[in-house]
Amino acid sequence: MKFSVERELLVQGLGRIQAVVEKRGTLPILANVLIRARPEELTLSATDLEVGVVSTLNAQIETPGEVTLGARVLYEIVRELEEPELTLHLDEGARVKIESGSANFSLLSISAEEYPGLPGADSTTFAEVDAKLLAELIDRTLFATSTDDTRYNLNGVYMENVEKGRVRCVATDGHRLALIERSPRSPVAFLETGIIVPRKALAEIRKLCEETEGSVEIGLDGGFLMVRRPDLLLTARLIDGEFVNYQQVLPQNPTIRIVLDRERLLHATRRVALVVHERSHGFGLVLTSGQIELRASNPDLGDARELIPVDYSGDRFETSLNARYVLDVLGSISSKELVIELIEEISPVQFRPADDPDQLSVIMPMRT
Amino acid sequence: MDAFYASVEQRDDPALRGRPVIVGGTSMRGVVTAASYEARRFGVRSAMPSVEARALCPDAVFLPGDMGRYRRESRRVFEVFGRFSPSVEGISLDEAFLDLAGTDRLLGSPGRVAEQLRAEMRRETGLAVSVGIAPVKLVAKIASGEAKPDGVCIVAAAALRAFLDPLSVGRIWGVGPVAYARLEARGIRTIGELCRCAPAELTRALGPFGLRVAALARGADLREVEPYRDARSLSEEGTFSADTRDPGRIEAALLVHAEAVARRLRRAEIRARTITLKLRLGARAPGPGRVRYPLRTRSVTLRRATDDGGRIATSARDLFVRAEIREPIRLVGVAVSQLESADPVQLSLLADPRESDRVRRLNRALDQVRDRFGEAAVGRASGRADRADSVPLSVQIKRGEDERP
Repeated sequence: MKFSVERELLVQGLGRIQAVVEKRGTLPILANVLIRARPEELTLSATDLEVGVVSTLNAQIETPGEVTLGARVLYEIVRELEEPELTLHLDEGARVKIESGSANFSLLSISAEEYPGLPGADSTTFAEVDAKLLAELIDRTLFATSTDDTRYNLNGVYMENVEKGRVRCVATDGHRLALIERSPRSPVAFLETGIIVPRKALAEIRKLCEETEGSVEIGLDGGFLMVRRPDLLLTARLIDGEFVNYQQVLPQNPTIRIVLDRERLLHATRRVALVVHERSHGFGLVLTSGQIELRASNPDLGDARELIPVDYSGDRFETSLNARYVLDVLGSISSKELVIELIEEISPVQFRPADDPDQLSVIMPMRT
Repeated sequence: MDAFYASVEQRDDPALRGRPVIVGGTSMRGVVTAASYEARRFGVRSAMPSVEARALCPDAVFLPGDMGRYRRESRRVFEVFGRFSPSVEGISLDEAFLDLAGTDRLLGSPGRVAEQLRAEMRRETGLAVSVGIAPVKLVAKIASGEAKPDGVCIVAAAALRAFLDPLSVGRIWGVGPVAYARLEARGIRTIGELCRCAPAELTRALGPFGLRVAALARGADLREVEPYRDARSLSEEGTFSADTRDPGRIEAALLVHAEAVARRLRRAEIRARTITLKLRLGARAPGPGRVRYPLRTRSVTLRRATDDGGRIATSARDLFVRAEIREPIRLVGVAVSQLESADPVQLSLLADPRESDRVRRLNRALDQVRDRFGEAAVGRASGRADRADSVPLSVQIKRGEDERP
């Protein structure tokens, strides 16, 4: 194997896979990047067996071949090189020579045959999705996923088709839930059956969307979600499990509905959150005629309270919420006005943007 | 205090005065909780099997004990302690550290304080108390032991070495029979010998613990008197009337202990995250040390702190099943630690909030029934309730726990 490549391109390609490279070292070869020089292109692959990335770049291939090298060290070396171009050469032994100007490295490699196979995208049908839309679906839900490994079916975002080709994404950690629906330009057929996409994959997909103008393609193959761009293929093993029956959690027929300025509530919550109890993060919401009061107290710090005028004339209503959850929700909504819907003191509190019927968040209160 | 439970009994029943009195389990497998000085003369010690105590002292009066009464008495004792220092660290129902720093202008010299405390204690509770006074906690504790029965022992800073040097290394906190045997093997028997020993030698004998022991031996005990130390763990345990392998009996016992621990958590308005199963095997293990029955412990930490006996029992049972212990078991216990104040509880979106509310209301109702009619009035059905009745309980009082005066 021998090829020459632009340093800048290689830095980019290696940078993209760094987050995927396995760091815990359960399988040492996963710390390596698989380099494949084919007659027409160069690919760099990495996987932690859950998420895989294949990055394709232009290179002058002299001799095709494949090899794996430590992903971290290769990335750091290439970043430090000064010449605009470099040559990689696998010699007769197991060493890879890197030459760039006067700099020479000879790195130990592991045979590509040792590297686990990555799911390919050859037989998959893809649907085109706007990258911004996909990013939004992730942004508005990812925060509500569970980080508790014992609830693996909640460690990701549930995606499914609802009527008229709309895609619905739902995430919950059992204490709060976030839901959003959007219409892609063309329907995503494989979402007729819901899938659960794990957190780590979503974070990678989110990054990919951010650096993409226009659209990406998504597809499903053998328990893997694929996200593709001409120069990049991301594969994510789906969570094999049943998502919870989230529909029954969505509050029906709220009895109280108040409208608030989102920014106002966000800043007030941030302030009272400074003195919430470190462990519970609980703060009180007290609704009385014409106002909502936020109150927090911490035996070691003191108390905080803040009043926000609201259009309300019903009975006094009091509930207690985790301030972090509320801040997460307020951060995931971008509308100016926010609707809060309430039923009873120990029933879920619903938040939704006033101008978007297709997004909502639910937070279960705390019992004091 | 001196032989606290036994002293309370002797005070309240003149017929017992001057006679050997033993408070503790009277069954075949009971142990001595407290022995009066008259009984100690025969070699009876606390934690000794009652059978052994009876053999040593056949004339002793055995009493089952009354924890409620001892606790009430303990509150009176601590009330007296509280008059002599604003900083009182209770170690048990009848023992405490008092920080006398800065009290001399108000109360006089430590010697005067000791005499006055003893006089007030005797006048108001009718009980004898021994006082040890020293610059640091460890030495004060040792000095109070030297002062017993019914005396005072003052160790001034200048006299520290002369006091400690001739004492056995076993008097140092943390030096149990095993450590003692290791030190003895190197010819170290007294605290003085320990002080003269090279640190490397101690590290070889006891590991890093050796250096801590050496520091204590030099009288370097930097621990402050901690008046408000919170409980770190609560536990309940009981010895079976005969060693058992029967999972039914063991699980029934775990349920009883779990319920009792949970009740104490609720009373103190705290919750626990870590649940520990404690098992003592019936077969004695060879080797030095008083602990002749091998101990097995298993722990699990919950995602959320709990004060529910059912939850604690389930964890304890799971631990028991996973421990896969085949030997006969002598004792089982349930301990909880990683205690948290009962903060607001995040309710689950996915579970019916009425369900968790139901558990809470059930526990509250159980507590109310027990408050009124006693601990045995109501219990959880284990499915093997017939076997649960044979579970004898012993309550472990841990430092700073809920029922501290």
